[in-house]
Amino acid sequence: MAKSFEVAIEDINDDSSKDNIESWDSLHHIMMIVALEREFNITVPDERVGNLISYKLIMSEINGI
Amino acid sequence: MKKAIIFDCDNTLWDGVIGEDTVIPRIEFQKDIIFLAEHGVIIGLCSRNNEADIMETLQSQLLTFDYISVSRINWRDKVSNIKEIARELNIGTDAIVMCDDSQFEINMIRENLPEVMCIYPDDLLVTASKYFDLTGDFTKTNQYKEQYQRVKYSEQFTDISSYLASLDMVLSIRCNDPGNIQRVSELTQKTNQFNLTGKRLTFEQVAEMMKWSMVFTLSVSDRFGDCGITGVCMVCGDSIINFMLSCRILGRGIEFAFMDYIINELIKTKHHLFARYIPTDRNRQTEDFFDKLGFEFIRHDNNDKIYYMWLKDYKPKAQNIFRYE
Repeated sequence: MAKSFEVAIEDINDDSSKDNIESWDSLHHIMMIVALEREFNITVPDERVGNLISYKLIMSEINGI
Repeated sequence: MKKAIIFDCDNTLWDGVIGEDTVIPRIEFQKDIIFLAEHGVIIGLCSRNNEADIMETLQSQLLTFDYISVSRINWRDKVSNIKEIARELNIGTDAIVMCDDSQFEINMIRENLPEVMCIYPDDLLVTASKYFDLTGDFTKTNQYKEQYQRVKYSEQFTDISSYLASLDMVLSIRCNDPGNIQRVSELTQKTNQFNLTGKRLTFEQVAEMMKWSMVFTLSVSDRFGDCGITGVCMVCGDSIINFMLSCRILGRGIEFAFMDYIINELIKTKHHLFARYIPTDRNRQTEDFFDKLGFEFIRHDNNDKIYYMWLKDYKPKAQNIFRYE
């Protein structure tokens, strides 16, 4: 996640979301989802791609599979 | 698609039962609810308590009453309360999720209102990302896909102008369309880089502005899809008082096409225009925008730059690769 948004790993915490990470725009978002899919070997269904807009929501997606 | 989540209070929003224990707020859980509220999920309360007790407790919580759109706090059964909530919100009961810690309540609702989804507090975020639309103005899912395809597609071109020409861009420009007030306000709040003044406007301010000045909105679509409203220009009297473009569409020369159109409209009723650039921490890249458009720099006003244009002298700047609709 840190890599996708070009921020330091320490800057990512439970409260991280697109609201407080400046570089979290739509393009970086899709890049991050693609990276997560590769990293965790998962497929995020199309209708949920846009919803994973915070660290916690992403974790819930990864853990939910 | 679900629209609202209705929460029980005791042992859901906090640990403990009001009136019996000292309750301890579930801070993380309340934070999650607030996050969802801020991203378009309607939040409601439905709980068996005394209403006054809940009001008092909420005052000291993170999740205050400000985030709550609807509530039914009484001793009646939750099934009829949920029906009332749906009516009040003007949505179907099938768009409602009930979040409760009590197996008994959940079974009761499932039996009588099977279309209402019932979840336990632990399942909040998973449910939210599966059944709600949290994207809001951020762009819809298909817009991510489109953006991704644009990037892929652009890789096969070596020169940028033939790539842009092949995108087949269509600009749709409206003036003072009340349906766009919300989006215009959002853009003023969120646009940093390509924002000539950095002024933030609320919904009410934009609505007011549409009454006495001209608020132009720009939507762009191309061969991959529709980017939605991504540009705003405000003209008051003989001055451009605001101009911004979402970063989603930057780098395509759209700002020039947008301005060409606007000047073409304004020249019908005006002779000249003033414009102001206000530097902010983030809008450095727009510093010479009015120079590029051929506006004449007149003077500094503190750090601001004031420009002037005699409209008859304006020469269209956009490449001939846009269509207007």
